[in-house]
Amino acid sequence: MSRTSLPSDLAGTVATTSPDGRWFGAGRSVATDAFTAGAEATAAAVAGRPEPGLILVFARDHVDMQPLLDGVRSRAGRNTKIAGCSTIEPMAASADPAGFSVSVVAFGGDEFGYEIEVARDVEGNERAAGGLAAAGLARLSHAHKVLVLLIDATLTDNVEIVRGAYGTAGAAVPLVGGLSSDDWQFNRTCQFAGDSSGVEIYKDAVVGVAIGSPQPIGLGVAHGWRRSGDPMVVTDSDGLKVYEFDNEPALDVFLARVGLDESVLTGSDSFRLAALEYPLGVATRSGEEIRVIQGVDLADRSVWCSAGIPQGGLAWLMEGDLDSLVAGSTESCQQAVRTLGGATPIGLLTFDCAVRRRELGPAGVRREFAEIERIFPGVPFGGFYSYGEIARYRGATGMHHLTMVSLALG
Amino acid sequence: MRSADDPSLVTHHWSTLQLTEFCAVLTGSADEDEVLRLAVERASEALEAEIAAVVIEGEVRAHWGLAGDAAETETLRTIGSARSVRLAGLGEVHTFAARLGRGTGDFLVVGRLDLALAGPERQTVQAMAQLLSLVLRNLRALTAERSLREEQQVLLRDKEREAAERLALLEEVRNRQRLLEQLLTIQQAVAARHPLAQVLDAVTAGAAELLNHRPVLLVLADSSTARSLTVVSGDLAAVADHEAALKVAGRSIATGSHVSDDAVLTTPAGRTRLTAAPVSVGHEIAGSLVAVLDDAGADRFAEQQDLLVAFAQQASLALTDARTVEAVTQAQHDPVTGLPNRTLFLQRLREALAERRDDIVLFIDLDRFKSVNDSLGHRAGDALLAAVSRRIAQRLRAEDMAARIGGDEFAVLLRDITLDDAVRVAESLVESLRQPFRIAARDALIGASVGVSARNSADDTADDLLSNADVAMYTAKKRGASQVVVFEPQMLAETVERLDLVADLQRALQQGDLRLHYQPLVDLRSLRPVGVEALMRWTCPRRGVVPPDEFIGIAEESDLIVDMGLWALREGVRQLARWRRDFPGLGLNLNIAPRQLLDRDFVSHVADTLLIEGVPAAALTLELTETAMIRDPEMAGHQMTRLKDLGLRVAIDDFGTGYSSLSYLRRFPVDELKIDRSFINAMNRSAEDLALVRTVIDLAEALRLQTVAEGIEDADQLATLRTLGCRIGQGYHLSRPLVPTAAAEYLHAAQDTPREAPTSPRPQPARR
Repeated sequence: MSRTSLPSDLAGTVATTSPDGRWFGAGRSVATDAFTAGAEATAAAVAGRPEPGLILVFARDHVDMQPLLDGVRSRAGRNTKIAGCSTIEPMAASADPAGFSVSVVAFGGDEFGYEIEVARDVEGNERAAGGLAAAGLARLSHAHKVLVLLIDATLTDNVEIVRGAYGTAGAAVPLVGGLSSDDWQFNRTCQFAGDSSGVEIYKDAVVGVAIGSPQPIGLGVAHGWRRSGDPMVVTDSDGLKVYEFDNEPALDVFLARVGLDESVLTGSDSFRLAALEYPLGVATRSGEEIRVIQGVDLADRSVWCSAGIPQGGLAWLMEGDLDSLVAGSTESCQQAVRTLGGATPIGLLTFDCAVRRRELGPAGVRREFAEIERIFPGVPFGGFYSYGEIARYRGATGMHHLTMVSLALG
Repeated sequence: MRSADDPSLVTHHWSTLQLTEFCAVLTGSADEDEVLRLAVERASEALEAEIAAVVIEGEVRAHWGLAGDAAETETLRTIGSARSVRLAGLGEVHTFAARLGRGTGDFLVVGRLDLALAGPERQTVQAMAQLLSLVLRNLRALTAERSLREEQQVLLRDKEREAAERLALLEEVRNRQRLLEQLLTIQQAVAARHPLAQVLDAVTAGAAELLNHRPVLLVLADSSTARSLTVVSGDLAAVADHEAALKVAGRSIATGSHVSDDAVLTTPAGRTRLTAAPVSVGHEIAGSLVAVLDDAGADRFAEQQDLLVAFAQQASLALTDARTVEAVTQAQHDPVTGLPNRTLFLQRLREALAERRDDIVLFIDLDRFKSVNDSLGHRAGDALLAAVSRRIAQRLRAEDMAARIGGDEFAVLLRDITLDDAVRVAESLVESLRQPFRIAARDALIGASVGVSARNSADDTADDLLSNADVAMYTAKKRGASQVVVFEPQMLAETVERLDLVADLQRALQQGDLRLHYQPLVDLRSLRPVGVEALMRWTCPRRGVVPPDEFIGIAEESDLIVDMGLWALREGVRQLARWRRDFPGLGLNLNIAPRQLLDRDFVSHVADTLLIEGVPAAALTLELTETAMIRDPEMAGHQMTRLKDLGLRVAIDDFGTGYSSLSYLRRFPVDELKIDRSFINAMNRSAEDLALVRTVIDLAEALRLQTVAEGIEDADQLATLRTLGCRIGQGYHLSRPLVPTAAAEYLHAAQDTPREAPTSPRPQPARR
């Protein structure tokens, strides 16, 4: 393939190598031509090292994906496995985040192992799909393993997908990943999987990337939102639907608490977007889980949430500001360092929430990246802003929202 | 008091919520393997643990978080009571195993990294294990019943024996189902933070129901005075030997294990033994659940003991959730009004009877409380109840006692008083409760009906006295608002008859004794049927044909009307779907009771039924009476709008007999007015009635509503209605209500031949 020649500027190159020969690189591209962008970001991630074994691609939803992936393949090795997904915005080290359309991370070295599985036609078969996506783990015999899940955001029962993956992976394997995103359209998300000879573009799919390593893997999860105001008791709920807070219609309580009026309910997506800025925190044994209100039922003034809130449960409105959200990123990275157990990190995968990205703004993102680089100095990182984050290190559940997940590879 | 931010409270409450969900999820499946899979998954998720497994008869039947590793599975199989295990890839895991029922080696084990399970968490696992074992037994009973049924089809030998066995098994299946439902109800009550006393009463009542209606008591040890035991729930009067019961309870509290009395009592109802299971608050044994169990065979006795243990665990959960000692002592008081609750009231009444005092009981039921509660919200409702309790207290002497014994029900114990004076007190209470209450910046007008009951004979128990006052109150209520009625023995017979009828009706609904008859709705110009109205009919095996007037009203007083209405909806729409294959334009009119319309699930039931039967919504007209709209205009309007959104038609039944307010015709989305039969019947004899019918038809035309004349009984009435321009009618002159086969014949006949004259008139029965 020689559709275009690479520019000589490889300023995006960041890559590190471990003593056992494993290496990790991250690259990005600002090119407007999709093929060029794919090739440029891949070349930057590989940075002239021996053939990469795995390449993960995170590309803005508006990019023409097929030529982009052709560009990636043009700079990958002959036997490189490739996976990835669409995103509202990719993440990659040391650049103005708004400027680039694709980020690529590359893994290389004989000691790493990788297996990719794709579950298709997932709707209605979520659990089995999760199990299938994790099936590659069984073919890896490394001391440490992790499963990266890339799930289509249009699949609503993502909790069941993660549950299915956990059932196959078991407690010894951390789960990470995210729901593929787009520019708040909720209809242009896609996932990729394949290898140097061809990459398929999927919709409604779950891509599972099993990675095996001789060295420990660290995982951090934090969100940076804090409780605001008095708690609300969920006095009536059923599944994802909450009918009442404190014995009053849930929608009315929510609107009054956040100071929105009825007009926000008229636009097609205006409420959904507004509600993203006012997440709910649900009290759990070890803190709180974040829920996002995803819609309303005007007939009974109920709201429906990203995950169930049991009747009788306590919920808080959560608030965040630039400082607290950046602090969430810091905490996530520090947890990843702690769980790495003293091993030296060679690379970092990041999955951060698109809503956090919106709230952070360009200045906040620069601060977030600066924090990542402060805690992981000289360590390349790449990932994407998602519509839902996956992280399971302790416990048996792994679906999160409005959260920053960081995976450090030792 | 602990605040909602108290982490330990939140933690425990979270576990309780998870337990409720656990129970709901498990009882939702009919497959044993799936139940086991769900159990290990949900148990580990609820406890934020990584590992869970169920071991039955030495075999790991389900596990979660182990990724199928054979060595790890083997480790869990033999874990026993070890507090931790080492698992490959995970390291040291803190474990806790809870047995699935007493006397078995089967268990549910949960394993968590980082942090050992705390006391309340272990209690949650115990409760989960107990629930799982009950669900499993239920499934096995079901499976046994099914296989026996299948065998029976092959082998017809020993018919009687097998039939008896099957009956016994069926009974067991039903009992287990009831048990699970009871436990789920209790857990939901705990999770929703219902008042503690209410939850504890549900525990004792639920256990009693399943233990062959033997008495069950919840006894708590008073922490301030050592060895003092208090019965906080259950019917102490039904236990013959109080001391023996308390002694067994004391032994189970002291040993922290379940205890059975050695003494077997032979009673008219059979051989019984006292048994007690310990109840704990957090880590500490705080009391005991005591029951009189049937001593009928070791298996049966052991099973009943298991059941008692399951309920004792529910009581422990409820008490632990309530948590503070203060809450436990408040178990005898109603938290909204601060008044004593039913348990304490009955205790005091028993003491009064024991002292042979001339005390009199008042049973007070508030009128219109529900509508105030519904319109102003629960918080205002609670404020109103508190205000009511203050007004009641103001009218009583210091030695009298008021209690809140139910939602809007209060009882008063008037000490040493004559019947005349008691009636005077009751009247002054009624007068005082008729005055407006200032609640939520609005004046709420309620009222009260009062029943008065004095001891009639020396045998009267506290329960008798309270229940007699209740019966008198019911009579008062029937006589109209704000009445005082003194109990008379014949009222009991009326109540028994009413309850009997409700029971028969309930059975009729379960056994399919209800039928729908269909009365054609006819286009008065062409005399062709355009639809049918479904009318409920009941032939009771014991009573024969029961006229609708006699059973619909009683069904409407209870929630039974909601189930009956649901049945009629499904049956009517199913029949309509069949007929519409031959008569595509045919519509169905269905009567909807106010209570049914106000039921939150009603609209979705209608939508589901139409969807399942494939009937377009426009083919269904729901007939509502004006009462429904007056009772709760806001909710009724909301529900009617939702029905209209589905595409259904709405008719006002018996128009003209109620409020017939023009304003609600504007306010509610109505398509059709049904002119009441009384006007049709009188219009050819009375100029006023004729004018009224004409006005309704003109009014309907102006508002673009369809009119339907009900009860057309002769040709003159038909001619008049045609002249007035009424489009649709029904009545005996056109056709009486028909059984489905006759209705089908009628429809075919009407289709085949142009109809010149209506069918011959028949005598007019009562209809609703």
